Amino acid sequence: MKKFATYFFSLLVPGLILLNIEYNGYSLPLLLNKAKEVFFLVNKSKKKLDTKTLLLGDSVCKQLFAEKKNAATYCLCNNQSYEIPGNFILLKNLIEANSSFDKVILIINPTTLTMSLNQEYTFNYFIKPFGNDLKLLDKEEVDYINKTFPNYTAFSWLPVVKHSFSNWDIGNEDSFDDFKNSTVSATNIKYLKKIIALCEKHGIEFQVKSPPAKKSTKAYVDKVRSTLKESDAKTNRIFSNYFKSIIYFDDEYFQDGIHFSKSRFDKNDYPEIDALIN
Amino acid sequence: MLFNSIEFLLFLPSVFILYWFVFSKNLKHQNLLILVCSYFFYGWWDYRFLSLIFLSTVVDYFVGLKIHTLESSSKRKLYLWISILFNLGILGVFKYYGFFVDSWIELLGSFGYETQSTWTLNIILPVGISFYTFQTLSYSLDIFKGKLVPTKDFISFASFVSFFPQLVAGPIERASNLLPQILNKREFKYEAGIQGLRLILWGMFKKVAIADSLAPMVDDIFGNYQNLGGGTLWLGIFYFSFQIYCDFSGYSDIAIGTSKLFGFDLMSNFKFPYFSRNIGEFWRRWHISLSTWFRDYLYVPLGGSKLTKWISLRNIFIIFTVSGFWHGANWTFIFWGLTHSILYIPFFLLGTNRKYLTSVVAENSFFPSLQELYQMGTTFFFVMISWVFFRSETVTDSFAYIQRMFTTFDLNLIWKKGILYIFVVILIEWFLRKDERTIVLGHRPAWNYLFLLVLLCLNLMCILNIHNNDFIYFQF
Repeated sequence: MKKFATYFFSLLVPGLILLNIEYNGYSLPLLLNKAKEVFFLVNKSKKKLDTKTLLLGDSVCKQLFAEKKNAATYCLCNNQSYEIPGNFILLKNLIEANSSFDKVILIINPTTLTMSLNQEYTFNYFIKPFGNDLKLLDKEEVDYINKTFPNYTAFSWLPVVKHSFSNWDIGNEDSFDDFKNSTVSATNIKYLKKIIALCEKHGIEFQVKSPPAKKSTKAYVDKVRSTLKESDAKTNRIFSNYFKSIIYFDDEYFQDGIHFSKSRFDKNDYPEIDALIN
Repeated sequence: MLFNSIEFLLFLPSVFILYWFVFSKNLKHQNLLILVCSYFFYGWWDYRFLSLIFLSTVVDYFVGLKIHTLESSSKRKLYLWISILFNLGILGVFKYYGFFVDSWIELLGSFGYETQSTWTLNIILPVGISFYTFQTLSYSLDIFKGKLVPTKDFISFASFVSFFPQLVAGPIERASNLLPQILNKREFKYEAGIQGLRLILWGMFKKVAIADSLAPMVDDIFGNYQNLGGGTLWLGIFYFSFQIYCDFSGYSDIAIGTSKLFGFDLMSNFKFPYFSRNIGEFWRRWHISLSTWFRDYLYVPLGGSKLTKWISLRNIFIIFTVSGFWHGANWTFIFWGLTHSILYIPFFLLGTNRKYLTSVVAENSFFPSLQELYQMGTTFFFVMISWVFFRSETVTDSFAYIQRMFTTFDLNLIWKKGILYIFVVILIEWFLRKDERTIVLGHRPAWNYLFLLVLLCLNLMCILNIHNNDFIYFQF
């Protein structure tokens, strides 16, 4: 038995060590993590970036503008699950890394406005990849995270825990394409205002745009708009422009509630898409 | 509980420690531990169906004792029939009831009688029911034939029926092999333990890294086959051939490996079936515990190949059809079985079905000869086409899929990465082909150590990173 135990641990110990080696934010478990791009995104946000227009946003933004990574426009979009608080952290990191850009465009779907860090993939696409940066959020959100994902932080220093895609069922989660919740979330509005203030402080022009939406969701979008509360003039103007910017496409071009179908939609046929970021 | 879950990664070492360090001095305590852990393992999925296993255990325990003690032939037969009817009865109710009702309604419908079913019940299929009912049935049949003496030790017998490593997806063990091992004291052997570990790692790799990676591609292709070209459909069925092989043989490897850790030696269930040179050899290498079960308890009692040619042909049809039906209550499985009988019969008529009983492909060289390559290629080709029936939702879908395979030609390369996974499996299994249990790639310990370390890391990464997928054979 002793010999067997020696053999067993001679495999297990080096195996566990290998799985827990983290170098520059990379580790072996991250290779199979479906959300690994968000980890890379967070890493990227901590390095200096020089571009004229920075694009932040969700997976539809990524679908439309992922190839834009140059001195004129840089797309740092990935997923809706990290919502506006995640985009706020990315922007704050970039500014702290002395990045320079004249304009920031946040491209988010109207459904994002209704979420409150309560999505199916919030844990894997926001909590895990943003890790230590979550402390940049307000106490209210930090408390909510600690309450919703208890005990996670106790082991999150282990790369094998932090970098693995392991779902956390939070119960009554919202989904981006069930269009049930139409009330604008106070959390997202709060962080939108923080982004506005941050941009203002650093003399950066800021816009919020929506990617094209499905025709059949128009009534839902109008309902979301109707739940917006009056705010300061700047926020009101940003939202007014946001809802005006929404272009509606026939449902047949979409593969689900918000994403375009790769086979039925070619953005090169629609110049209005590129006009969104110019 | 799934083998490819974090729960099992905690369960297995805990049981191992209790088994060898706490209960090792007393055989009865050790067997009781196996029984409790097996029920816990099964109950983790759905504790309600533990009653079925328990009932099946109780019936066959008493039936076995009765058959052995009674002298009257008619009474012995009566008790045997109790066992057969009970086991096939629960299988019939839980697995086939809905199928028979629906098929009857469809049949009436084809004659113009529209019937609304008031008989259909919403019954959940208990995991592993086909495996443990066949295992207990073989116990009573062996006692009846005088091949086995029943045990009076109920705990040991219940442990045999519910032995957790092979409870839900086999291998379907014979009492003559497993029960004596349960009744006798086990000793931990280093070599067996190491072999067990290697089998677990290799089986887990086939399941979590290969089968689970191929699964979404197969689902995509079969789910949209009407809109895809023939090239893609060939790719889909090629992937499924390896998905089901890696899924099921992976489970068997983990089961055999886990048993070895506890001092048990289970029968082999897969011996590299895709390296077979004809269909006869394929069936001696694929799901061996089931094919030998049907051979011993159905084919041979029906006369096997000892009687006239026509009876032999009839028996071949019966055994393959029943074997297909065993896999599921759907006509697709019956067609799959029939297809294999059609593939098998030419070899039977030519007398070449038992040609490769002991030899292994490329026995004395690393590379196969051209003839062997051709034989393996054609065997795999036909086996692969038969899998279309196995995977499709309906028989109509199967034929439509096959038709598109041969009449359209587009190949969509978005699913091409599966080829790499399959290449890895074929390459490694080619090295292992002479002994399915050793899982060593050569004579250099350093290479083998590295191989196992890579397997361990990949398995842990896959288990931690994905939602656990059920093993395909759980549904049978």
